[in-house]
Amino acid sequence: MLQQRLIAPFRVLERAIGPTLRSTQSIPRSSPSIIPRSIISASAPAFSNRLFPLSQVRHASHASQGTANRHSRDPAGKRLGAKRSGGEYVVPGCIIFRQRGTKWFPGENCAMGRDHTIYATEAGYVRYYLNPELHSERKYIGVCFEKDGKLPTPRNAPSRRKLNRVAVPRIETVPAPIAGQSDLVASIEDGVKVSSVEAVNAESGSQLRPGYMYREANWQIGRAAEKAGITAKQYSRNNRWLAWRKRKARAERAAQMKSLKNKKKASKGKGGR
Amino acid sequence: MAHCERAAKPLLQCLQKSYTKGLPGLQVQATRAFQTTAIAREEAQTETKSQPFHKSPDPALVSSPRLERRLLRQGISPIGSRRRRAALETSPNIPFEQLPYQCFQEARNILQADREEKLKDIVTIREKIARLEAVPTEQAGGLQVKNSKLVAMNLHLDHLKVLADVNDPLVKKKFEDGQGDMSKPIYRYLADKKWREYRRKILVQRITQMKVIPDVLPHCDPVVDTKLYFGRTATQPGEFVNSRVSATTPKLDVQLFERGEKLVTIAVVDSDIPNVEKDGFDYRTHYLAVNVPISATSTKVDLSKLSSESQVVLPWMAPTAQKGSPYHRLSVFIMEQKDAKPLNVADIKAKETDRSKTLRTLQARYHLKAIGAHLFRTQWDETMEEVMRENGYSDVDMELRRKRVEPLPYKRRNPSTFR
Amino acid sequence: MRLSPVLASLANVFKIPLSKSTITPTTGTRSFSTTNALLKRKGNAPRGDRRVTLIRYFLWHPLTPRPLRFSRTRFLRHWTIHRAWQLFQAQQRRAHQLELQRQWQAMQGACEELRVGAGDGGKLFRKSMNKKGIFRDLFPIEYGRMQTEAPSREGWNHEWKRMEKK
Repeated sequence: MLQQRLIAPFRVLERAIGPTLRSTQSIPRSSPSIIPRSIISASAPAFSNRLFPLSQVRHASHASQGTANRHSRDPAGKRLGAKRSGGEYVVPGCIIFRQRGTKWFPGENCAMGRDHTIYATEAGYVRYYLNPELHSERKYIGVCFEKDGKLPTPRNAPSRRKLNRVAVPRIETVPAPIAGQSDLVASIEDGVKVSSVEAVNAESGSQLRPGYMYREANWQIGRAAEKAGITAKQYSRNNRWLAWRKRKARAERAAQMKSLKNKKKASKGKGGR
Repeated sequence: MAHCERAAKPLLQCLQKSYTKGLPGLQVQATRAFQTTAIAREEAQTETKSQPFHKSPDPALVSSPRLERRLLRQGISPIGSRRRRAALETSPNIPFEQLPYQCFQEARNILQADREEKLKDIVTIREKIARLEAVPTEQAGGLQVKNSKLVAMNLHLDHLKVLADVNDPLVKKKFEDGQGDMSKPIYRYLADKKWREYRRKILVQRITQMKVIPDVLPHCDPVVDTKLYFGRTATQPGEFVNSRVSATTPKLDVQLFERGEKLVTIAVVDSDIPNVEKDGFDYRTHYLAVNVPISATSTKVDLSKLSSESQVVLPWMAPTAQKGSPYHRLSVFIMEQKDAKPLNVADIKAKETDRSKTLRTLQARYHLKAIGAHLFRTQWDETMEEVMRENGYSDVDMELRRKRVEPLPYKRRNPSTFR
Repeated sequence: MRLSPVLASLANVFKIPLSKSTITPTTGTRSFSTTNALLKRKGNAPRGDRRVTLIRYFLWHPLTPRPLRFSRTRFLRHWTIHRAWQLFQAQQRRAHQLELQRQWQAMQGACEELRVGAGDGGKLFRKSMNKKGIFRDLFPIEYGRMQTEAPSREGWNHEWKRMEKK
């Protein structure tokens, strides 16, 4: 009923426009009515556009200026700086200085981390120093073994190191012989094939495997066809007939999958609305 | 044809001039390249004179299998590859200097003129040196002035000697083939240049990066090329050597690039002997020999063949590394003795019985100067245990383990600001 | 079939394929490759150093001129000529330098002679050293002739005669 009522004024319109349309376009149409239902639906968005002519648009220039809050202008401090001062006792791995870039360089018994953090590699006392013999500009952080020692050491002096090890009776670690090959371990030496490798445990059947499943080894599953005596045809480049059939089958399967996917989507869309 | 002849005329003249000194047969061959007419006649003449080739094949030129077999049956093996022999057979085989290329010959003329000039310079500077030496010291302005003048002139003389030969293509060829005579200054110069281009750089990098230089000796500027051989295999500087391999005494190849003979001291020092009580490292001298003569021509030094009475002070000791210890750097140092004077071996043997002395003390005591270095490393491997037992090391059954690091006590710092 | 090493090397030289006979035949099972499966998969293969790739690309690009490859003697000849040319140039440079030095010293000597030997207390010398008006009232010498795009074909006008004064 509603439709009827809506269509009625369009009929009038049709009568008015119709002759001109026919003369200009001269499209052969099967149905006498040139205003199908789709026009009604097509006119709806235009109508809504006129209702909200000024929709909100945010341009990049506006967004890039950021918000006016304090947190956006002023990020949190990164807690950089010296963690250990000169003369303090440090142990290996102790962070001495956190920095952006290399404000300080690692000197003796120190190392630099991934983010240029300087940490100690030996136990000792921290020293901040310059080494003009090594570099005229750089500032170094080093660790000295004595409390009142001095850095840098002269360039030609033998380096002072610590052993940092204790002597214990030596324990002979005999590598345990591998008992039974369970999973696929192929040795690529000539003459050794996978089939000739001992497979004791695998033969005993299904075991608890990764994923908490009782099943056979992957390689045994893979050789199921061989056990059953099914052989694949040898691939031949020149067999174009087989290739065509395979390609066809693959294309068909792809089309099938695609259609399934579309159906799924369509059903989902319906459910959503 | 006329153009060709006109162009080739000066060259031909030059060639013929040089052939008058050389072989007459050569002349015929080389001139043939410029004449197209008379070849057949000449060949016919030469053919009739000599025996045909298949009757007496030349082992340097024979290329057909049949003739080769015949030669082999006679007990003469053909020289070089068959391809080379075939190429030689068809080529006119002119000596390199007489190759008939105009630009090449012009270039040779320029180079030879330059060489003549250099030779003249050498003669004059020699005369100058002789004149200066004849002048008494007072007239020459004092001993120091005279000596410095002489040294400068001798340096210039050496430089001129090198300059005279450096542009000779045959010298270059000989040097590239490894047939250079090291008693001649030019070959020594070329070898030195080649060594400094790559191998010395590697060596210096290794000994400085692995801290051998401040650890073992305060300073070293290598001027002799040192190669180290265990058995027949050369060791790269800084390479890890298997303990079984390094148990045998190595051989050295010390190439000197200067004139004259030098007496050197050879020392092999391990600077990483772990000392648990001291919580540090000790030194151990694995080998020490003095009064080893070295010159540019005699380079091979077999450390096991040196005489135990007059040269070897401390015989070779197999380098070892205890399990768990960081790798051991074994540095070989070639040290020049002062003024090439032999040291008194008996005295040294009496004094240097302690292997744990540092090389620095030795250097200071005998006024040695390091002129060459090499380096290899050892670490614990499968054969190390056997080697250590064979050589009677006491610490075979002990292993080094990393000491536990006591963490710093947790300290809350200035808690009032944290709230 | 096992070949002796001599035969194998000969075969290698003459590019005779031996793969079928030397590789042990694998019956039933396919031979396992040493490449990791993850690496073999598309897009996962190691790319190597980009710089090396680029160098290789440009080295083997068809527009790159081929490398200068000479036989031993040819190279030695080339080297000889090159050295001679360098030497010749050095000699020329040295001769030029010496000539300039000689000229400068001759000029210096003349000036000294003028200053000391002329007997006028060096007045003439001082006059001659006066640079006043030298670069002011002259025009640059290259403006002395008509400016052209390229030098003339002859390089010298031999027919030119000074104009007769009337």
